[in-house]
Order: sequence, then structure tokens, then C-alpha cells
Amino acid sequence: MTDETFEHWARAYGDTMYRVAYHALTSRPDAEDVVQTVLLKLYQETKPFQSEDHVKHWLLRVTVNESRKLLRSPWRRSRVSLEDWDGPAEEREDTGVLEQVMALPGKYRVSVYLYYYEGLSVREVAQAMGAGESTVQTWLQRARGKLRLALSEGREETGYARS
Amino acid sequence: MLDLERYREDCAQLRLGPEKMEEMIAMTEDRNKKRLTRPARAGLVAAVLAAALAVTASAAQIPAVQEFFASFVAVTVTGTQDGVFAGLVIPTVAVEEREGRTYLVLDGEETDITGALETDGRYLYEGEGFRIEVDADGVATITAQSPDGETVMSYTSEPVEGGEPSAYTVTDGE
Repeated sequence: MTDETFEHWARAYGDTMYRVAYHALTSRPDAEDVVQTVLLKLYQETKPFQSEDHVKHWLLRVTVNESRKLLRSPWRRSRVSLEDWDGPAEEREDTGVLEQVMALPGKYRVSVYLYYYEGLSVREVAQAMGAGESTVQTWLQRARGKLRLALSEGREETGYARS
Repeated sequence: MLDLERYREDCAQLRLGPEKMEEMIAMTEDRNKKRLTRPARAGLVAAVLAAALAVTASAAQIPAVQEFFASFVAVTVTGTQDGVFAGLVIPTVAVEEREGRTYLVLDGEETDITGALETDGRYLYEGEGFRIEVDADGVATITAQSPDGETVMSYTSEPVEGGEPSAYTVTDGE
């Protein structure tokens, strides 16, 4: 891979990798670490990519895997013991849409991001996350349910819940 | 329900920033280019070590030692793409003969391999990302491997005519 090709892909997909890692890890420094690791893997990748889509899907898969690795590392576990792939993100005062998504368990957050922001199909999300299609469908369904509940609770608190 | 428009707007603001991105690109390329220079450095350091050894070796051994190092750094590259080596890590290795025993010295740690050489005719060491094979003549082959097991590079020592060197050393310079 030439430096020019590497730089093109890094610039084209750097923010995408960062968003995926951030959704998985809920920490900007950790997300940056993951992006750096994935860029190194991209630079050292010896097998040729067939297309831009191929590169993108490869990067998404590697980013998800590297985020998982970081979550499982003893260093991170001791540092942020309550954060886990299946656990909820840290509570936030802000109640914006992104914050509501970030309050979901990790696998829901990442699948919501890939499906709703990146526009991947359920099948593509499943491939990126190393899960079955039906599992991803369930995650998305549950995520929607939790978001609906969070939204209705928020409306009740602000006094304009639908009758 | 999820307000998609607001969610996409929020996500779009989650960015590394161009400066951070350029910094990461530069770090990645620098790190790999340093790895790329290792074979050349290995040759250079081996030559320096040969000179250092020559100072301490006896007069009769000096030509042999120099010849050995001159022929030792024969590099075979089999697993590259666009001339870039992938994940190459080469340990510091020496095969030494003392008082009739043969020792493999790997990153400063000695192992007596005399028995293995007598029994099997060779000694094999499997490290992380590399393997070292020493044959009955004390000739060492160091093979660096990529994470998927492909041979990226190998160094092979050659027997020296006209004398026996006191130490055979290949180093990555670190």
C-alpha cells in the first residue's frame, strides 16, 4: 500500500472509526487510541482491498474488534470498572439524542450508530460486529424500545407527556 | 423514538479534527518507516560488532571473524508489499562455543544447546514473531514471521573457512 493510498483512506474514514470507537468506549482518549491502532493495522495490511466498500467494512470490523479488546484489557477494567461492553455508559446531565443513545448498553450503541448513521444493512452491521443478523435485529429493537421509554420519561419530567 | 435528524447532527460533530488526524497519519508512517530501516541497521551494527570483536579476538581469529560477519548479513525478503516490511521484530542472537559446549544466547539469555545438536542435529527456538534454528555446525537461521505466519525475512549465517570465530552475532541494533 502506498503512503498516498493509506493517507486517503485514513482521512476518508478516520472520523467514522472514531465515532464507532467512541460509541463502543464512551471515552474520547480511548477512541483515539483505537483509531491509532486501526491505522497501524491498515498500513501493515498486505492483502489488497477490492473496493472502497471493502476498505470501509474492513475498517469498521477492525475498529469494533479493537474496541472490544480495549474494553477487555485489565488496564481499562481497573480504570473504568463499571463500563463494559454490555453495561450502560456513564450517566450524563445532558439529555440530547446522542446522550440518550450513549446511555444504552455498548452493543446497542454501536449497532444503532452503524445502522442509523452509517446506513449499513442489518447484515452489514452483523458482519462488522461479529454477530448474527437476528441478534442485531433484536439489539436494534431493544435499543428503540429503551429510547422510546427514555423519551417518554423525559416528556413526563418536562410535563408534556402525550395523553 | 430516535430523532434521527438530531442524532445524525450530533454524530457529525464527533470528529477527530484535521490536526489530530494528520498527527496519527504521521505517527503511523514514521513507526513503519523505522521498521523498514532495520535490515540496513542490522548490517551496520553487525559490522560494528565485528570490529569490536576483532579487538578482543586473538590475531589468528581476526580475519575469520571479519569474514564471518561480512557473509552473515545475507538478507532474504519474501513477504513484503511495496517494499514495506510488516511487523518485523528481530531478536539479538548469538551462537557461542566454549569449552566444547554450544550456547544459544537470545537477548542475553543463554541456553546450552549441545545436547539438542548431538541428539537431533539441530536446535529450534520458537519466539513471538520469529524462529531460530541452529544446525549441528552452529549455523543459525533467524526467520521473522508476520502475524499470519508468513515468512517476512530470514538471516542465515555461513560457515567460515580458515578459522572458527568465538561468537556469531546478529542484532537488530536495539
